[in-house]
Amino acid sequence: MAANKITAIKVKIKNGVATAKVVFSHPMTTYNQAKAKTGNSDDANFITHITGTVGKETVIDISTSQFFSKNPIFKFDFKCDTFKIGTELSAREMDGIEEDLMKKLGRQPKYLEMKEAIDSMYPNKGDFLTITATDRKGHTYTESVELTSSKA
Amino acid sequence: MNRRNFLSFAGGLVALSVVPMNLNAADYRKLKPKVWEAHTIDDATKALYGMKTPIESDQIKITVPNINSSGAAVPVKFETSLDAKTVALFQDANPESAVGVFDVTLYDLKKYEVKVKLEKDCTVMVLVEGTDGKIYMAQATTKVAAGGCEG
Repeated sequence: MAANKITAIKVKIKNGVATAKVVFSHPMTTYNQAKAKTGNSDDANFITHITGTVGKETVIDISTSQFFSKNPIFKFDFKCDTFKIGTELSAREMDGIEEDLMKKLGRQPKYLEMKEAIDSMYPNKGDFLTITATDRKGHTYTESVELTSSKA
Repeated sequence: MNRRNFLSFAGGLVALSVVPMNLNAADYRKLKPKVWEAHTIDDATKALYGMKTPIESDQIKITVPNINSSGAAVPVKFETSLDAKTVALFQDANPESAVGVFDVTLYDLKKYEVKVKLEKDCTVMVLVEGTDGKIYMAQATTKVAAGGCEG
């Protein structure tokens, strides 16, 4: 069985509204399912609480039950005009930066050199959206993603 | 201090560090434990919001597929333009009726989409606790060809 975790968080930002999509990898067994499988309904395991924060601000807070689907997916919208938004580069822009570096260095740039060049060109970094989920057995899953949007 | 004592001490520290985070967020599983054991929408509503009668509102929108080939993951979209404290999602197909209680934060735009397990044809209900103290509701029906809860 795959390990339980937050598989992916994607955030799209448009006009100060962020739409976040969160994908979990979790069996979400109900009491009846656990009873059919192991004979003990107390073996049920599902996510009971999900919180999303940006910095110190809570943007989403849900108490959940066993009836979220297996490997649950949920989407929500939140206001993000007061948060810092980073710049998202398109593949073409990345290729451009890489080409310039190659001309300058005369060889393939290393990952760190590439990162440095991007940071110097686009110094603004976005705030991070952190999703924390707790399940019935007391495990906690955390994942964060930077809030970014492509240049207008 | 031997190893066993040290480990239990460390465990206590971890528990202490977790507590403030739980206080910050409203955990309705602990605040209202009866909501999650209620077998009908009515009982769950009473357990969550007391004896107030919900008022039907057209400012709550629910979108569910008309018919689903499988109930394992039914997408339920719902949104509201009401000023809300909490939003609750209930259904009457499964052994217990509560699916989730959303605590509305300052940044929340009250537009959600979740995938839900449904065992049979049912009514999905969204309840909104307004900041004015009234309870608003909207419901939608959906059909499920094969149950997704016991598989």
